[in-house]
Amino acid sequence: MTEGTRLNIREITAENAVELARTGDPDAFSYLYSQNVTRIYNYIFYRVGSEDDAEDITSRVFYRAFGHIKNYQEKGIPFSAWLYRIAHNLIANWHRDRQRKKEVSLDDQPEIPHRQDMPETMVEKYQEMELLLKGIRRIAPDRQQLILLKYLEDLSNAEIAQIMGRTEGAIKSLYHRALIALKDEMIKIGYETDKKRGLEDE
Amino acid sequence: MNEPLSRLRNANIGNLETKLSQLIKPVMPDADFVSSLKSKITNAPTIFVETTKKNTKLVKVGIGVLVSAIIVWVIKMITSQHHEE
Repeated sequence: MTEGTRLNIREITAENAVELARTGDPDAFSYLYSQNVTRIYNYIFYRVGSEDDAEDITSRVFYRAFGHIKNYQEKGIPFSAWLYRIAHNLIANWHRDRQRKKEVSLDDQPEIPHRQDMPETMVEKYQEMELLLKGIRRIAPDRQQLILLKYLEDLSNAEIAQIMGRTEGAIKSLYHRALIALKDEMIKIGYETDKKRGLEDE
Repeated sequence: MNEPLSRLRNANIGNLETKLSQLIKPVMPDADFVSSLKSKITNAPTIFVETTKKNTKLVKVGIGVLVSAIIVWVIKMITSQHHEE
């Protein structure tokens, strides 16, 4: 068997995919794409609230990752963390562009996936979700990121710390502040003039 | 009063965490989008930027001018030596 033939039948695994992708192997990048596309899409979708924008930004994330994979250095940080950072930066750009264009506020048009397909009993739950998402999108971007990584991905504080480039302790305190901020925003959204009876601690 | 709003009103931080874990669920991206993006990325055409040809021509012209100048200078040197004799 020739060297070339052996290279063609190499098996792409989670361990070697990044290394192979860095050498320009499209199959390896394809593997990494398949492993990460749903989670990156989810993260973006919950941050921007629109399927079209989520698809657009997801595309940009993977094009950028594909273009810069040779510069990616593992350094103990998972590949997904690198993708989340790219996504986070692109979302920040998206918000900046959007503010410049002064489009209709996202808060005015929250989008819940496939709501029209939900049975009647689910609609109420999704109204509640709309409010929650509205609240999340009103808090600071790093707090949004933390909450979504925790609840969407079910990541530990240590894993989130890797993605966000902070210490585990910093994540812990940021999480607490994020919850308080979210609670405050929830009160503001629903009951601006009735805070005393809002989401106050019992 | 809106029912979901009233439920949220009565939640404290602990309840908020429960709400977050109950309501934030992964969504599936459109399957066509996922597969078309995959093929677009991995089958993207390679773009070659041709910059070397122009540089090579410049180098060739430069060498030609330099060699001509040396030849002219050498001829001048020889002819001036003949005149002195």
